[in-house]
Amino acid sequence: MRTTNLFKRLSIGGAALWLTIFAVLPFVLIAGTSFLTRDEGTFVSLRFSLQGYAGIADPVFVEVLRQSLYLASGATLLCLVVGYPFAYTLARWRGRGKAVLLLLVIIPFWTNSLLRTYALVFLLKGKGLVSAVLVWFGIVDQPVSLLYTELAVFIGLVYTLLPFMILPLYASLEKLDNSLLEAARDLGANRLQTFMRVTVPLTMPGIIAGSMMVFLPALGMFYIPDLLGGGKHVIAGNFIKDQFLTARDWPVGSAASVVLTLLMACLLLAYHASSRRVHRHGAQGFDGGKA
Amino acid sequence: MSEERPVIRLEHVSKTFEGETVLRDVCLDIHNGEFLTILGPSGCGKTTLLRLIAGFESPTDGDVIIDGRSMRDVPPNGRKVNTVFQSYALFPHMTVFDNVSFGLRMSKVPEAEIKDRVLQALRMVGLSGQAGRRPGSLSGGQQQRVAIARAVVNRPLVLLLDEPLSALDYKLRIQMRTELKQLRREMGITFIFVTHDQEEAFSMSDRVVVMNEGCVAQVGTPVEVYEQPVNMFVARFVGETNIFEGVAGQIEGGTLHALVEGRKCDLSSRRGFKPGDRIRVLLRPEDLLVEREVPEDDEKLWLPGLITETVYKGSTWDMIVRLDSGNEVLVTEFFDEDAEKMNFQAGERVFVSWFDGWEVVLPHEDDEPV
Repeated sequence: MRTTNLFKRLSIGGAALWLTIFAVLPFVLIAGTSFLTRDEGTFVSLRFSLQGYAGIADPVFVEVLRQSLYLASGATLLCLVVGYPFAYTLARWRGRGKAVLLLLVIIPFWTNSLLRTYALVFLLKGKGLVSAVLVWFGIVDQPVSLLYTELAVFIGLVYTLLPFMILPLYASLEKLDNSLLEAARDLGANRLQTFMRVTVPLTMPGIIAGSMMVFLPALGMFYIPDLLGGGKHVIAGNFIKDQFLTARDWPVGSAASVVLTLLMACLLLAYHASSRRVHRHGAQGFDGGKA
Repeated sequence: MSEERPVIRLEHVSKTFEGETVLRDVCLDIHNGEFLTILGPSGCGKTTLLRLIAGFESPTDGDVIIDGRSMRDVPPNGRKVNTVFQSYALFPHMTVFDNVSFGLRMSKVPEAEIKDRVLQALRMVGLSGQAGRRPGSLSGGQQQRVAIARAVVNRPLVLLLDEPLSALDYKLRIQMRTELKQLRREMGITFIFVTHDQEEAFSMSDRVVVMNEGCVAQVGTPVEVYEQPVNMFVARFVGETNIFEGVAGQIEGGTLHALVEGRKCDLSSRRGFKPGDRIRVLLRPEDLLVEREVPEDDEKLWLPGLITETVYKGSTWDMIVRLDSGNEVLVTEFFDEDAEKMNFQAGERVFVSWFDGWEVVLPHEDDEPV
């Protein structure tokens, strides 16, 4: 009993310490910096100011935010459209090879995502594989370069983030009781009605969790628009990176970080509230004669 | 039974899953308004049969005909039958009202009528006050009732029930049996009830279909199935059975002269046997008679034996008697006013016989499990 308690304390305490040092502390520093003054020599000087926030009230940042939201929601939607059928099929897979299919989803994690993005550059460029295949099938006459287009950015984001969508979807679809789908059919619902009225509502926690896990990282993945979009598409991550490394305006970069973090926090809170609602309604226990 | 068209007809239905035959050439007519129970051990194909009728599976061979129409290529949502699932399968994200109204919404019944019918169905199962609750907050018995209401509110031709009582505790199960019977009487629709519980089957049904290894073993009223089992499987599966080995002799006008346990005996049998055929004589424990002395001038075959065990069961007194032939039989005596007879004790020597004509004579089947 005592050893389990000690183990509990150590493991939870360790994680808490880790998060405090490497997540909470940096955020506090960033939040602090966002209220300081820019200084050419030492980056920031310890004088309170709202310059940082004034800096991001700029239409440029608003446009960056708009574009980030556009790219991130587009990527989320695409991941959902691609990932849901896959997760559905995987969860209902009766035959062998289920473990292999699941492994295929996870394998990309074994390679650094920056490297994989460079690989995409070679696939998408004018003399790349994608272009060659398109020509070979006669879909296009001339080799085309997809590189440095919005499509390339979406391809990169979806490619990188798809597993984060599939895994939570798979988890919730796996739990879905097949007899509920049969009950819906039995009561006169066709396939589409069954899907919309039973499958989707009951896998909503997975849909929301997957969307969060795609949407939030997508806002900050600056290297994908950099490498595949040719710098034409600036997302919040790019903006922050540029403020720190190029413009050397730490308060503005910090203020942008704070805004982005708050935005994500709001989304997470919304997710938490909605999943709690679904879970409460989804409880299927037998309360043994409690009338 | 009436000669009108059966509400469901199974025509030579077979079903194979990955090379394994689950149902073999099943033919069955289900009459309008009857309470039919499909009874059998697990793995006999009874649930598959129900799923074929509901449309969740399609037969490998043969056809399911509902209300005169072939159901080939008709999906579950196109069939006028509804199912009460073993696990209830209530939609956890919907209220009781939305669960029960689901079928009516799917068939586009006007909203005002939906409300009336749902509330009426809930009243019928005694859940009027629970319309706004979620299934998760109901007890097992209440969930069961919601599942029944959700099915019957659609006024199906046939209600299919897949072991719906197996998740309930004993007392509730007994109560639900009576309620299901009453419900069927009130609504007048056909019930097809699947169970492995013989008592459940007998206490509710008009007819019982006993299934074994994908085949229909016997169809009949509970009384027929119990008193005239057609083969050893049915005899053994339905209630306790005592078996006496024998050899057939000549038949004279319904009387079969035979040797039973090595002794001459006259049996009544409607089956034909050739002299020399090996036979089995089946008797229920309550068909057997036990006496301390063979009554005078009695033509019956009295088999001597020793009482090895007595079991007091409240309304009955059970005895295990080891016959001198080595065969062990179970005898059930009902208490009556002549209590004197009841005082059999273990270790007493007795004679066992049976009421004239209550025996069932079957041909000896080899290769059967004991």
